[in-house]
Amino acid sequence: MIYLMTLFFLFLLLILSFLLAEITYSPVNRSAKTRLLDSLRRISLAQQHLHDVRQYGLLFFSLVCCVLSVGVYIPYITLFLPPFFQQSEAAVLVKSHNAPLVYLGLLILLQVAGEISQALTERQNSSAMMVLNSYFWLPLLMAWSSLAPYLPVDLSHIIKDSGSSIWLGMLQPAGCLALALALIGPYLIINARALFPVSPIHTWIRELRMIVGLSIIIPLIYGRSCFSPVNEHFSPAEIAGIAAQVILLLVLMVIVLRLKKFLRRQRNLNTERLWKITLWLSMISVTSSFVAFHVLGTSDPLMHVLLNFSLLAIWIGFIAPKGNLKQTKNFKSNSSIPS
Amino acid sequence: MEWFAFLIYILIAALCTLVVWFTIKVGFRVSTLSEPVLAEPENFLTTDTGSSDQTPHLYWNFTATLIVIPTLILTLGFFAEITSLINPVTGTLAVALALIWGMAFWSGMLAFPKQSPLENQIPLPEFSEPTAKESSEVQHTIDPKETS
Repeated sequence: MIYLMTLFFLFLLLILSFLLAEITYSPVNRSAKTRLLDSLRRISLAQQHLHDVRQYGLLFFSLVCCVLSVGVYIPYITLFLPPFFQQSEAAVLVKSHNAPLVYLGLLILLQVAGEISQALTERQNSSAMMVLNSYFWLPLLMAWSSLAPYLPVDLSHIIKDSGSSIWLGMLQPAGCLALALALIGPYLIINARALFPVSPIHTWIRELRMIVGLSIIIPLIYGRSCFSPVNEHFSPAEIAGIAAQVILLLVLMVIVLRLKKFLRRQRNLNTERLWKITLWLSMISVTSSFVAFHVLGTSDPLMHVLLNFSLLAIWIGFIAPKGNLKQTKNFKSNSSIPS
Repeated sequence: MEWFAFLIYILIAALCTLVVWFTIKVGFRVSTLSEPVLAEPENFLTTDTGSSDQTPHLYWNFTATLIVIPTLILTLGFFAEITSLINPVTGTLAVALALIWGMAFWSGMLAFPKQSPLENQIPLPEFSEPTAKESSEVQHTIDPKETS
């Protein structure tokens, strides 16, 4: 059952990534089947031109990382679903309270490994070389660390009166946003500075990794947290929740594509600035996690919401003026006139 | 969690970080060598005088590796589930958090340098590769600006 679901999910993701990769090369409106075949032909053509064995191996490793993370994905997402959907104990890879955290760390490591091995093949791209520095991955690590205490989903016996099932994205909005920005960051940065042609095979692998990354983020936004109650009952509202996750994936994908388009339109995009904003956000989310869990105590979920949103407001107040939004607005209006 | 168990976890985390850092140093030696060359078009840590000569990239990487240790300590400390401020574990975590902020400020990661719009318009290096040529032929009819 789980293998069939994984295969089906992988198939869906592959088709989506082929279609997305084709958008980069031909924006003409055609039927989906033609686009899919065109994309396949383009990628196989590019693959025949890969002569360097080392490059070939690195790209293959990057692809294997994507496929592996899809394989781990179904057990990962069932941890965030209500207990009704959880599998028999034999099928569970990691079985402890911290299993969601371990799965999330594993998935993030696979994403990072894929991104780094792909960036090693394109050293000409200065944006891709930024990925190879260790400081670039600091926001991702800190965002993971800030979400860590919220993740053990079945620890509600420790927290008394856990009647609330506020979503993780509400409890820790800064951490969720930082994780999303840091995971999709390389995709945005490298695609926004595409001043020279990128090989179709690179584009395709990067699109596939973007979709996998988005589907990693979704249970964090719309999943259970450490405050959610343990109820064995099955209700139609939970089915609606699962349908909402699929819709959320599509919404997030559209947001990322719009953001990519917006960043590409800016003439003087400073990728360093984007990275610094993510770092600020992740550090503030780590601090808020520390304050919430060690200074104020874990008792009240509404207190977490209040604290995190006030910190988010502080972040917007202090950092957003430095992000020079006025300048970006001017550039957007300038560039939209000729195009 | 006991204090000594926590200490042992900290030591393991620090050792693992050092091992990873050493592996990166040895395994990716080529990439670390080519970092200073890349730093110039990206306008890292430049002041208003425009002197982008001393771009301390390696130093940033080293600080980043150092920051990993207190971040891992913080992640471990969340499992302690201790809420009193007098507890030594909470004190250690607070020190780790202060270290993260201090190192990030001290290395200039959190500073937003003032940029002039002209400095960013340095053309990127040429992209010369067989795959790239092939794909550029495919893409030749379409202007990349129009695709966006």
